[in-house]
Amino acid sequence: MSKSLSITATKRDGLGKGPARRLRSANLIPVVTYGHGAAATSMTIKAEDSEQVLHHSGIVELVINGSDKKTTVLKTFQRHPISNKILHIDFQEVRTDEVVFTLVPLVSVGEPAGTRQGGQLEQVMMEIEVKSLPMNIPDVIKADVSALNLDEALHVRNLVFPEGVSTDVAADQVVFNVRAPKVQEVEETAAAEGEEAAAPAADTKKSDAE
Amino acid sequence: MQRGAHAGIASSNNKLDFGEYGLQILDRGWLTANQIEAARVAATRHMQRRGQIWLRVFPDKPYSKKPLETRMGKGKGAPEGWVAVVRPGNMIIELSGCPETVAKEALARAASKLPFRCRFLARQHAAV
Repeated sequence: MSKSLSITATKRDGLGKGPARRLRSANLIPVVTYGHGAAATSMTIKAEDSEQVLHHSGIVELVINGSDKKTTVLKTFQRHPISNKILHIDFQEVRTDEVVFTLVPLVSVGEPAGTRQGGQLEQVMMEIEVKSLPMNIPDVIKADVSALNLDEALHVRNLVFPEGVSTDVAADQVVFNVRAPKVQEVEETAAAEGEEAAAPAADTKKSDAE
Repeated sequence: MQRGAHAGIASSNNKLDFGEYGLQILDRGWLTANQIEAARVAATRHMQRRGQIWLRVFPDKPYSKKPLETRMGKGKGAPEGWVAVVRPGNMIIELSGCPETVAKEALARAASKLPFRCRFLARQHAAV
């Protein structure tokens, strides 16, 4: 169960990319809150606080202009695809007595038995949507994979959720599996040699095209 | 040759959606089918058929070329091949099911087959 995080926010007037860019250059991140039929409120938070928000699941208390308070959860965020800087954050207003749906990261615990036999642990599902009260949102869902043998999978039904947390995701969805190593056969080796012969030919064609 | 500017940055296909590791392109231009295939073969070979590979770009744009020593005019050249238009931020290849060191080397070999600058990306895992 995660603790509540308190962040200072300031209301903003300027909307659109011009004002948003000016804010980002001043080391501020544009954010918005919405939910429960209330009008969307545009605000800013400090860039150093924004990283804290992204590594926190659960309630985020927004203290607006030092007085007004909003109880929210992180809904979504945008990052720049190249610089990886945070561009914008959406917060959803919640009530503490109302169930919310949130995405929580899945992490593996333990070393699968199958990896000692040469297998490779593969994470198929990175996050899972859970439903819980806002104060019960876990930071991560831990999955014990130590019992997984070669070619075995851990499904959603095998996950252990903390008290007060559940999911509507289909129980037969695979979360982790242990892939057996592929055995290279003689035919495959021959095919690979064929590819090797084809590759220089392709290069020659490319240089001709240039 | 005037073949378009490919302005802007990648607005989609710009993050890790399938695999654990990925190769992200940092320049703009055309990737030919041969280059994409050469990159795939280079990465697959290094992984020794372990793990899984996803190609995130597809050469769906035909380009034409006039024969050598031909005067201008007389119509458009014949189709020469197929290319994928890429912009900074596009994911080219994603991998999973192999250790990070193997993925890094496999994607470095794949990047060496491409005519643009690329960078290696790994998925950020939540702390336990």
